[in-house]
Amino acid sequence: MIVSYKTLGKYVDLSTTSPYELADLLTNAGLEVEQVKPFAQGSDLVIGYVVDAYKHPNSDKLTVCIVDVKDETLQICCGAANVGKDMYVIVAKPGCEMDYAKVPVIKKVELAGVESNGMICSLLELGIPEKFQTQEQINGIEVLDKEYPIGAEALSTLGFDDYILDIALTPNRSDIYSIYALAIEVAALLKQQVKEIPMKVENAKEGSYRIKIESDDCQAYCLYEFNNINSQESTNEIKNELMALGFKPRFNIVDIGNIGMVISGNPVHTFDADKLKSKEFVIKKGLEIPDFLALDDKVYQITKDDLLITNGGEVVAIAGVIGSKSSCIDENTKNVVVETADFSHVSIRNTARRLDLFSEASTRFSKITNPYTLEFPVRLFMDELNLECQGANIVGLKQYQAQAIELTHSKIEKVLGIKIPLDSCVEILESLSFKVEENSNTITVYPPSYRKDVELDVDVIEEIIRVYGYDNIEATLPLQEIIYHKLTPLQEMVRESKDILVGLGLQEIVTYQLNSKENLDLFSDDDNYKELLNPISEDRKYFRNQLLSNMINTIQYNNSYQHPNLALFEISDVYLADREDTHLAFGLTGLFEDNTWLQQIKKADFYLLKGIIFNWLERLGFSYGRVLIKPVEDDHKYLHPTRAAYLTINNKVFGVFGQVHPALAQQLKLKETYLGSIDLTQLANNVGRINKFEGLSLYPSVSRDLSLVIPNDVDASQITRLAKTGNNKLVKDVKIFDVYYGNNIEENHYSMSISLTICDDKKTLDDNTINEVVTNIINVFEKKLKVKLRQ
Amino acid sequence: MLDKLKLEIIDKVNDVNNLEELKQVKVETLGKKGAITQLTKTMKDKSEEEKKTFGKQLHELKEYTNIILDQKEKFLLKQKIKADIEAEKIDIFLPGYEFAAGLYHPLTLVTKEIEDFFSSLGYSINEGNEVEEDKYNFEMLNIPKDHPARDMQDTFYFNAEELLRTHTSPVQVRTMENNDDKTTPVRMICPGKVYRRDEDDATHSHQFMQVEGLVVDKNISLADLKGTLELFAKKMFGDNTKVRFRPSYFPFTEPSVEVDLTCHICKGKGCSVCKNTGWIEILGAGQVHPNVIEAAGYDPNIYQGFAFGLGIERVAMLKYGIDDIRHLYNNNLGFLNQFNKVK
Repeated sequence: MIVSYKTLGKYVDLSTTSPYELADLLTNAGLEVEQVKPFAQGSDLVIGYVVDAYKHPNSDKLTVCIVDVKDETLQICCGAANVGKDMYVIVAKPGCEMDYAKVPVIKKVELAGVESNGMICSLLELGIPEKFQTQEQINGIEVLDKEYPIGAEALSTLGFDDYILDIALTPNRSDIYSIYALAIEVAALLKQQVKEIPMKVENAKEGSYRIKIESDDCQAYCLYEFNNINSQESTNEIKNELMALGFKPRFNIVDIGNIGMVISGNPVHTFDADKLKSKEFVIKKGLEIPDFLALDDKVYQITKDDLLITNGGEVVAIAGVIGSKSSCIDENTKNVVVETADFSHVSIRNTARRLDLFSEASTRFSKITNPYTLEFPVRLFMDELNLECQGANIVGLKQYQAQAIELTHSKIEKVLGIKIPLDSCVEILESLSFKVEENSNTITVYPPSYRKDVELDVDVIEEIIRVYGYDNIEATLPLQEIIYHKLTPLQEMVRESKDILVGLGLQEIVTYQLNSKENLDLFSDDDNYKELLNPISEDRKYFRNQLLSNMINTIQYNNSYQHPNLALFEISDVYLADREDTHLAFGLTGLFEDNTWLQQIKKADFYLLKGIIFNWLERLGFSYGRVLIKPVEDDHKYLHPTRAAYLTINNKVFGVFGQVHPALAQQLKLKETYLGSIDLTQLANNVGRINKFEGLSLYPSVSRDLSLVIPNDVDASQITRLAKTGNNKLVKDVKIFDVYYGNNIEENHYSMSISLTICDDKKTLDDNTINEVVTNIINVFEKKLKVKLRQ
Repeated sequence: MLDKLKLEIIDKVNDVNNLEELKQVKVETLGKKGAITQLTKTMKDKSEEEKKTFGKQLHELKEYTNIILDQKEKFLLKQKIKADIEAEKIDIFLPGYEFAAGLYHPLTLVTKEIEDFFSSLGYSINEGNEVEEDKYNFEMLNIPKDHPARDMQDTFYFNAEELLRTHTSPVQVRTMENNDDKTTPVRMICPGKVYRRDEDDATHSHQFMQVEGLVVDKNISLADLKGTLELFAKKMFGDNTKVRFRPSYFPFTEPSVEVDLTCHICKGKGCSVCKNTGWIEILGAGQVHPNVIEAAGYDPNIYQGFAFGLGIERVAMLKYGIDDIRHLYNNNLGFLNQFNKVK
């Protein structure tokens, strides 16, 4: 909402309040002023008179001007084509600061050998936007329209000394789309009275039109006739005001209509009475017209939900949005019919949105108009143009009946937590034009017609504290009974997992939940993703069902930024068919630990990821044994079939990890990359075991190492499991400390060295027992797995 | 004779340069075949009178020898340690074992700090769904279908009823609704991802994070909100941080306020970060609208409270001086590497 400081000043005294003070005042009262800027800029600009002008001796483009600025006569070289003798112009003297000119500070210079002492200005150089100007103004200097006192300060003399305030209105305060409503607000804040002005069209006789309303989306419709208008350019004063309010000046009927709308908040539409075909207006819906020619010379499609104003069977306006070309006013218009109406905000908003036509009028109709002050803009129109209304046709105009709101003093204190004297409350409300009746312990409040947002007692309380000042609230802390809360197992698991994984050297990432079908397909078994109706782009159209697509995106992105070594994880919710689950994803590639003077290189590989996963699980309380792994399918979609594994608990798969499938790696141009995807929601269902203390062993343990030759089809899990089962209760641990594939080993075999930890909790072991255990293991290996001791 | 021996021993001990030599001297004097031991063996041939005086002198010499050997040993041990220290010198400036370094994402750092603060005040940490029903995201929050406030937040829809939540506020209603006993006081926060249909740029992200806060009881006032947020501001931005309320509008709170904090960069004096105002807008808050309390099944004539919604990215960007919100979601390692501290 653009507000002119000068326009506002017509209705409330701002003589002791600067535009910047006004901005602070409004911001602190909930009307946030986003920007304050002068309408035109430039220090020490004066009115000058061009005494003489002649062609520059050395330049075709320049004119040498002799300019009288009262105290002195300046020689100025001017580049504008439209400059000439006997003109009144705006002069920037040397030293003048101008934010919008090509040079910020005007200096005495020499141009092609001729001295130039200043600049003759265009409106663009004063910072007045191009959109308000004619082509001649844009191309040249500003030629003033009449005689002005030579040497006078230019901005105030020309009425350019205005300020523009840009207010970001919250949806509840659409009433401020009326500058008069803003003036009431400012008056309340400044403890002043607003200037009362007439808002009604009085003593108008019955007009010559008939009005038929055939849609509920029109509650009131009024037409006012004005004849013999002298259609002409508006005065400079009006033009300046319009530009400060953000409108391009056109001619008086349009200009005054616009000013009336901005002051009252209610838009008016003006028809050329001589272009209307009939005396009957019908307001209705239900027509479909593919090619409605509007007054902006564009063609719009009308659908059956659009509210229309028709006259003589022809659509003369899309209600509240735009009028027809055939009925619109122009510079030759003599007789007009001014429309003011109460339309449904929702209906107008839908039409304006569909046609993408949010004009000043349709914006106001879409948000708020005041059905009780429909005549206000018409009255402003009449008074400004000195017109008499020749006839009025009014349907549905209502008298405002304020709804009473009861409020107790104790409620004010209960909600705000501070005491405000009742007198102050009443004073504040009355200054905001609320009517207040005081009873013993309660007050009854009647809001003014334009404050539709005030419905409940808490709305009134907000009005009181807003003006009383939030700074006057003394901070306290809530007093409540103690409520015990604990985290859910999943919440705890998420927190702990992040701590553990960061501790293990992995970097956390956070990525977008929306991704493309193409990316999601790579790591999904089905394409049943949650699909957006209105995505911004195909890249962000689906809610992801797993985290691996984004993990790969992040790895690729970082690789392109010279980060080849990555060990990443992400924990996030994903969407699966009908529920949101929490997943954990891993992504490893390149070096995990680099070569140093102390360390060997540690590359990302299957066993690194396996180690990280099992270390993390162990610390969460899931020991190996409870969590088991099993091979993936031979035709796994995205993981290397012989270098990947499922994680299971109670025989149910809750995760998978391994190397990216070579085919996929080739397709994505990935270096050796390892991924893991784990369903934390499922894992968290299995927590809750507490390990009981088992006592300390009083007897020493012994260790025995065995070197084994193992057939290729026997895996490590078979060796370790077999060593611990059967009669070998005394074997507490089996550690694999070497694995060797290659020469010197029997064909189709490999070698493994294991270390057995043997201990009896009840007595010290003797050599016989130890040998018996070891022999037994060797025999079982031989018998069940065809595993032999290495010679 | 003994005096001569004593002088000899003193000379020998003085000449000793290391522990081996000292051991040798000990053998030569006090050992089985040592000079003093030999003399002791001659005692049996002496008269009683001689035994008495000679024995005493010999004992004194033995004691004396022990003492000087001992002193010399201590001296030599000290010297040896000194020499060893010199010999065992290492370069302490060589780098130590380099463990793989991983860090929390900055959004996690800020979220944890906020969660820990409110947990310490007895707030529960609740979670809602990111795919939310229109009913909870809008209607029960006092934003009916044609409410102008729906223009404030452009929404991603899955269908007429399901959408990506545009704020964490639906969790307010869900939390109260889930309490079987509608007299149970509420004190909760809810951190989570939210979505707006914005094009991504330096200050907008279609996905971002919020923390919702809600306290409902019989007498929870706007002054309580101010006190709570003052404590929070001090925790997040330092002890001297002050809080300012400005009137604002949210459909689900009444009164509604924007909350500003004194700028932590310039301490309120005015700088580029706070656009010379000395204040930084940080969150929206207010007293829960009676319609919301009622929609969630509580009696608005008895129960009231405050709610607030805070943008986590905004806090992270202010705290760490991040100038572009997209950094937080690009996950460039060069960016992520820089957040190794909470403060």
